[in-house]
Amino acid sequence: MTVIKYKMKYLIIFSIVASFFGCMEPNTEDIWTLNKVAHVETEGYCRDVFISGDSVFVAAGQAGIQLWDISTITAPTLVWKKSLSELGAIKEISQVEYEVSIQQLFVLESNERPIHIDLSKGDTVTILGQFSSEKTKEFRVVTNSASSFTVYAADNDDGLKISTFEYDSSFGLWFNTAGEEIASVGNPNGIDISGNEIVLTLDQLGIETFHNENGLITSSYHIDLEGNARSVTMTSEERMYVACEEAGAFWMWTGATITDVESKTQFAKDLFVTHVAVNGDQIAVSCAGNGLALYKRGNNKPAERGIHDIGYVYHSEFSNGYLFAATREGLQIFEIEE
Amino acid sequence: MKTLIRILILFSLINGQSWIDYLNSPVKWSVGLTNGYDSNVLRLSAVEKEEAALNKSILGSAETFDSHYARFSLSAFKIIRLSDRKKQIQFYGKGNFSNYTQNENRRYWSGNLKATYRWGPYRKLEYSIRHLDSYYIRDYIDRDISVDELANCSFTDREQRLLMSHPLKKRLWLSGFVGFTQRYFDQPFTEFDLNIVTTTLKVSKKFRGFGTISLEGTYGVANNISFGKTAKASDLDRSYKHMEWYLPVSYDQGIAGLDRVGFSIRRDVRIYVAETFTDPLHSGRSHTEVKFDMWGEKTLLDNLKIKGTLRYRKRETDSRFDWVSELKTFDQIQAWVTIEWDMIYDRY
Repeated sequence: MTVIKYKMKYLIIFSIVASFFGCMEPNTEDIWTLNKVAHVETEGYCRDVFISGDSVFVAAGQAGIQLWDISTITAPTLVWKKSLSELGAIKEISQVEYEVSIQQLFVLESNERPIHIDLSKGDTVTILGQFSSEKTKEFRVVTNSASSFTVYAADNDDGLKISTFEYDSSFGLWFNTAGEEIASVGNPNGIDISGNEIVLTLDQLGIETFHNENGLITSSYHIDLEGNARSVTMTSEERMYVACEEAGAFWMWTGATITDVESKTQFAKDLFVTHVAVNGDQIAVSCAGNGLALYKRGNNKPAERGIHDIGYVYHSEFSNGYLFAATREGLQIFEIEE
Repeated sequence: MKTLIRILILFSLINGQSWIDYLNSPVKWSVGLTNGYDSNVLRLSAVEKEEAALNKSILGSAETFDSHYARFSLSAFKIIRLSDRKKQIQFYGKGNFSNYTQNENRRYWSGNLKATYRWGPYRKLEYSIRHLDSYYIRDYIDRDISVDELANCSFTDREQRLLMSHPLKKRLWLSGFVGFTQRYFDQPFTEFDLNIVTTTLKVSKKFRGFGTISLEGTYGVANNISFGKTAKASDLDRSYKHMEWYLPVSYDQGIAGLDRVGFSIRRDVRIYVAETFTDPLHSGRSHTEVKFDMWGEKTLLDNLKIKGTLRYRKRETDSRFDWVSELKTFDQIQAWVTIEWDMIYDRY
């Protein structure tokens, strides 16, 4: 047995002290953590999500549509669901949008016509039928009044299609009272609206913007973009983010003329971007099989904050501080930790 | 600084003399210059070398697989003899600066400090700290932010050891150490960060009229401290266990004009803990690495010596997938010559 000698203990003390000062701290990266709050199995692929208060409407692909209650965010509960046959659809449901002020739900059968559903009669889900054109790729609904709404659709074979509906209380029905088609430079496959500006994505041909002046809609300008422009997200800060699949995404200013755009900035270049969601400085980029990529908004190029492998991501939306991701693996709810 | 002063005062209490008296001893300085050659700087496998012909980005900013390198070193050694002449305290420090001519990213400094307490032949207790700064490995894809963009991957090592040596019989001694290495990667590859705890036992025998033969065994556990703490890239646990044995033989009776010659064999087996079916590149992977070294040393003048070393290194990766084994298996030849000039600084 080795006896530690009295004088040797000074070296041991020295070693302990030196060890304390000799350690180093690891480097850190500017990566945001994605904390999973809940994961909901949606049977079919979760293609799209729309959040309204504690109600989450899900376009569940071949499983139709579903309404989930998230009053307990960690344990969403299914309120109701409608299958494809109940909706009168054949393919799959790819988009869902709810207008809370008129309590009307709109869903899109992929590459077909939107379906109008009335939720204004208590717990009853009344399917009113399909409207607008076939080959609708995406739509936006704008509520004009308590008895009127207008649907703006990216009609893949006709351009920008506009349909206005009004509610006739004597018949208790919604009637299509006006509509028009405005030809676009290419075949649209995505749409978004902010104020008086409407933007269509035109696949290989980039984007085309339209200006709405008191109901008179005219084409403003067309910008060609690298890749296949697939969806566009417009923000209240007059920015727009265009998902261009294999070319990543672009952000640019919006405006009535092309000079307002100034320049376009490409990011997420090597990711297959299908959609961009924005919440303040947080940007969530849906990247299909590459997962979900987070970026921090900057004055110029968004800064990378990490790709998260959460499955095959179609679309994501921010609501009330949470990030809702529509994935093949179902609906996933996250909190971003910066 | 206060801590340093306190430590010096503690040492001053070792005997009745003041600590300044103990410092009245010469300092031995050494300047070294190494010229070397590395046949495979980036440790590329044969498959990757073939691929590099079509995709040059594998080489990073380099143009060649191999490189010449130069290393400058400066060391200082001081012995403080205590009143009991058998006992002494030694301080040793060395700094190196290395530069690879054909690979501009492999330019780094390293250094180590040792404090040793000796109380007889083969009896010592030693604390050492070693630092390797931003050592470039190669370019890898930063999977946290990209699926195909390459970035420089380099790491910094900080290793601390507490070593003890004790004789077993005449000219037969046992030494062992416990080491703690912090291997932290520079941005953007912090997902590889490791804390490595190593324990080593070494038995050495000095033979009269021959030299020294040792046998060393090492067991280490590496903990991937950044597992799950970045984004996609940290989904895989890169922790591992490793076992190593090392057999150095040195002959100090002179041969072929050299004063000392020797050779060594080192075999390291590393087993990764990762078991992810979705990641065949890393799942259930292990590797065995063998290093053969040969060296010869000649004292040219009293204060000038030259040492040459030749190393062959081969890493064989074992995986249930043949393509992973082929992708991660490589070999490397290194050769270097060091000239060392000793100086004594003695102001008394």
